[in-house]
Amino acid sequence: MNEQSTPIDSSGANDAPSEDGTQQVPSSRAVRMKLFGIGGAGMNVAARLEKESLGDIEVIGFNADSQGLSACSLNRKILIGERITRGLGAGGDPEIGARVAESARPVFDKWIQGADVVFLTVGLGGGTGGPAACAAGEAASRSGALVIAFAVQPFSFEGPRRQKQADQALIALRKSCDAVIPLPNDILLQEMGETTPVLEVFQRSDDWIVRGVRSLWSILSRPGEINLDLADLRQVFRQRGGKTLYGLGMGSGERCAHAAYKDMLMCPLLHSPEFCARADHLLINLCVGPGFTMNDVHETVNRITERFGRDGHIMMGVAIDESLAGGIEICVLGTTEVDRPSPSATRHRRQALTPRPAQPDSRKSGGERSGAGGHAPKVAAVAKPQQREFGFEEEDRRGYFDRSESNLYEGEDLDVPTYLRRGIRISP
Amino acid sequence: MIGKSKIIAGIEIGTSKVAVLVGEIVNGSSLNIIGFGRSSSRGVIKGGIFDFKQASDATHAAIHAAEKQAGAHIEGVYLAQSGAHIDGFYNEASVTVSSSNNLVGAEDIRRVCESAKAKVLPEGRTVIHHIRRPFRLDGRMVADPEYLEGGKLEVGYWTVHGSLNKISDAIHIINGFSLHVDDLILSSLASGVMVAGSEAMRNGVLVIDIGGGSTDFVLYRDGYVVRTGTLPVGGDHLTNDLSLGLRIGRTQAEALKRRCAKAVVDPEDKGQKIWLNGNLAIGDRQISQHAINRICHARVEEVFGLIKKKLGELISPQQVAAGVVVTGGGSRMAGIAETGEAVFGVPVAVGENPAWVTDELRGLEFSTVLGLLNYGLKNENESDSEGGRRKPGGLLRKVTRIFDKG
Repeated sequence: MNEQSTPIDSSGANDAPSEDGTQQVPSSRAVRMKLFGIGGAGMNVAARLEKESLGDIEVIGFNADSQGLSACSLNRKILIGERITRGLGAGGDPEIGARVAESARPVFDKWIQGADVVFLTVGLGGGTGGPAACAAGEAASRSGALVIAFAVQPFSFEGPRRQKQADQALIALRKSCDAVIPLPNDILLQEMGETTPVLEVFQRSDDWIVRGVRSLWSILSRPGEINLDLADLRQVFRQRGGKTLYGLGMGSGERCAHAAYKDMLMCPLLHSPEFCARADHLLINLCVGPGFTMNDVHETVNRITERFGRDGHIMMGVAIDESLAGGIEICVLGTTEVDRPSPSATRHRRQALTPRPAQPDSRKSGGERSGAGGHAPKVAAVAKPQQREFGFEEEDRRGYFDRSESNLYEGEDLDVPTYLRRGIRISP
Repeated sequence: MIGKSKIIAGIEIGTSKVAVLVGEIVNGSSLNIIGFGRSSSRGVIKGGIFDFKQASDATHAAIHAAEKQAGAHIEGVYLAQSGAHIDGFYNEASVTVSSSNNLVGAEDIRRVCESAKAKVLPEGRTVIHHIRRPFRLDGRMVADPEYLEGGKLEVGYWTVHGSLNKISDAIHIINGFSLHVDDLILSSLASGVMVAGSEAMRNGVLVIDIGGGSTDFVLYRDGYVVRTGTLPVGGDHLTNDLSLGLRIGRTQAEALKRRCAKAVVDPEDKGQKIWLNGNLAIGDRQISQHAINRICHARVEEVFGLIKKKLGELISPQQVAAGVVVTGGGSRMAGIAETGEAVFGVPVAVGENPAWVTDELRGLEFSTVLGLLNYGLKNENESDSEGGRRKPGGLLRKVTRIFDKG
């Protein structure tokens, strides 16, 4: 190992000595998941996830700032780039951040060993987070793991410099991870009431990441009636660099499927209107209560496919969750090809995709665990469009202007709605 | 050109529409509007052409319709220019009056004008207008200094320039219909002359033309143009803001904007709900009027704020005594004047096209194309009096230069 990394095992409030290891991995060949919280913001989310008792996820925090490290309640935390910053953090300087990330590569390599899936949680805009998350993503990819990153983007009012750093980091991250789910704080702010305390606003992105990780975790670790597994996830994320579509919705009561669908449309992780949210590969997972009918499943999946699907791959999974009596949870995950045709073209190309309704006997075929090949019904398959590189500018918040040149005026992109940049709450 | 008529067209290749207005200039002095054609614009975003083929097709369709209605062939085109590529700067020069009796001669005027216009543009840029400010003779403002007595003659020009590529694209579209571009006119200058009267121009007035993809403005004082500018933000941005903020489709957002958006946050609207589609069909839902207004208010306030910032000290109640006039399709939004007044601190009025304009063209989105014909008329008959406007031929030279370089 190298001397830049020092597992912290003192000075923390509730720490546990780090034993190199593979504890908590259940028997047989379950999917081994690790979660890396990178930088201050990333570690805070990681700490919350650790408390969520998602049993088989191993949570590790990485930071260049030893003070931040010791303030965090994570059991396992690693100081990176000590030789460069002497444990003082990158101070928001991306150059120092890049050097820290470079020096931390062997550390990531070591901790990634044995993982099938690596989740990264990171706050972009600062110095360490972006570059270090990229380095971790690359390390995980090299080891053959599937890498899914949740990246919190700064508020516009934090200034154009941080915004720009975050945008650049996001583009880099997309190339080094299989999927990147951005959480723009500007958009999360919209969910809050007028009188919400600042701290709560910052915590909101954490809440969404927790929900997001939990839902992916449940796909991977709990068998469904129509099962989705790691191989299916890999299918969805075959191509890198594109945007990830991710939406969560919950509903209960009489018309719970409808309610959950509507709830999902308002999910801030989805935060784009129809024209920029069509996926070339789409994965739909439904967790339903015991009373849910196949007809409802069929209708819900149809509706989602209609809204987000394209003539690409569509996969679906259904899991019965006893605790969700009379309720439903939807998780939609999709990717767009890097060379995405213009929105108007796709709208015309849209075809009615009808996923095959699940056969009654497929319930029995549930129980298989992941690691093997995918068994989910694959509905339509078309030749994969050719990939071409093109640089993403600022992300998703631009809507219709997404594909046009950015409209910079004194560091602000005028194509992004004013209310988002100003933090004006509109509460639709 | 006495006793002869000439058919000219004003063409605006805008972000949301292409408008072509055909006029007949009789005896070089009067103008009859004889044809009008329009089409939904395609391939234009934020005032700039990005898909040549689509923009070209849309423009040709509109020209075709206009010529058909006019029953005549267009002989010359006045083409509006807008978009993010347009920029401007102010440059001044002064000369010492050369004659021994201190009377300003034509040569002095020529020298001072030439040197004020002599600033070299960066690579790839071309001049659209040199707009002259009044002459100053020993510090005194004079309209025409010739034969006046003085020692020092000064003049300044507001030079508007644009990207050579973008401008040639637009010219190529017109040439592609076998038409000739007589002159390029800044959109703001065209709509400015339509909605601001000469008295307002003397007293000081700011005209803001809110289009589909861009917002153009022009500030007049003492009857002269002081500043022009373009912001690549327009009605499309309001639509996009609504679409993102309310999570509705673009078409729905556009309809909602036209139907009930307000640019002002009115406490009375709190709690009011608007049906999204208004047809009570499945999928229709209620949207808060308050949310719509906040989104629009934020955007409109920002656009006005940016214009104010760009004008800096040039805009104050003393300098724009006639206030602000808004025009263009975007000026239709309710509450726009109120928000403007709050930003600029001067009275803001929604403009009107002149009374002689037919009903079909009364809409404020036609101010620009009407203004183009007005320019065309002036250009045809003011071959000798200068008055800040270009002489015929000057334009031609400019256009030729574009192609020499290209």
